[in-house]
Amino acid sequence: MLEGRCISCGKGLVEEGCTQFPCPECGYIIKRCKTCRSQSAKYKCPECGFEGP
Amino acid sequence: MEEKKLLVPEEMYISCGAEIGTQQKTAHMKQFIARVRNDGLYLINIEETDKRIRYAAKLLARYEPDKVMVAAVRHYARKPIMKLSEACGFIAQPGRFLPGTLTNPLSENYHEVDILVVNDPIGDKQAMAEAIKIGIPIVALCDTNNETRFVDLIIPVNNKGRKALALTYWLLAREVLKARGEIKSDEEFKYTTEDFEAEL
Repeated sequence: MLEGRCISCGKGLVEEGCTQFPCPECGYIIKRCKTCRSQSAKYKCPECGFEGP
Repeated sequence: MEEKKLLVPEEMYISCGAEIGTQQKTAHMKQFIARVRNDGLYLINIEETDKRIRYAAKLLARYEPDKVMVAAVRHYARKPIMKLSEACGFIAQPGRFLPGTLTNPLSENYHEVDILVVNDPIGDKQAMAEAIKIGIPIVALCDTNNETRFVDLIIPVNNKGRKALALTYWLLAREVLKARGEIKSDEEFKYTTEDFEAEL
């Protein structure tokens, strides 16, 4: 289980399928929940504005 | 406004067929499609491809080399991923992805990795399923017919063509080494795109 909340929806990262990785641009840790990953929901880095996926 | 230079000339992307998509288009990949050809093939926006290769290289450079796995079932992608792994020190998984590679510590083929790169979310679904299970991020080469579920960084490019795959992995290897600071300029990169091309 990861700590923190999903960057797209704000949900807690409690279930299997969540992940975290550094922003390619600035290194800020981006966290995504299973639902947002499965829907390919967009995310935006709050530090540098990098948009993914 | 100053135009940002591409990693290689646009003609090289076009001659390798990196922009050639398929006749299918998914909602997930719509944002990366530039136009549709008369024969119904969707063409990928080269600038987006270029941008995403840079991002992917920067992301991969943030991880320890032996914690990055590159998986590809597709025949034409096997040599390019082997070369990428040779150049950058990644773990290559060409061919069939043995179940348990990421999830079963008792397996002989077990690897503990922190990030996964896949060549095609359709073909490499076993690798993706295991990465989802252990909660590691996924970088994927996606064509116009791919759905991007569970992909954390999309590289929109032709993931089927021999030359397109060679060029993409060659660029990725070069940019990873540059991002790590192991080479200072493009000229210092000792491989050519031909080295990355699979045999016919």
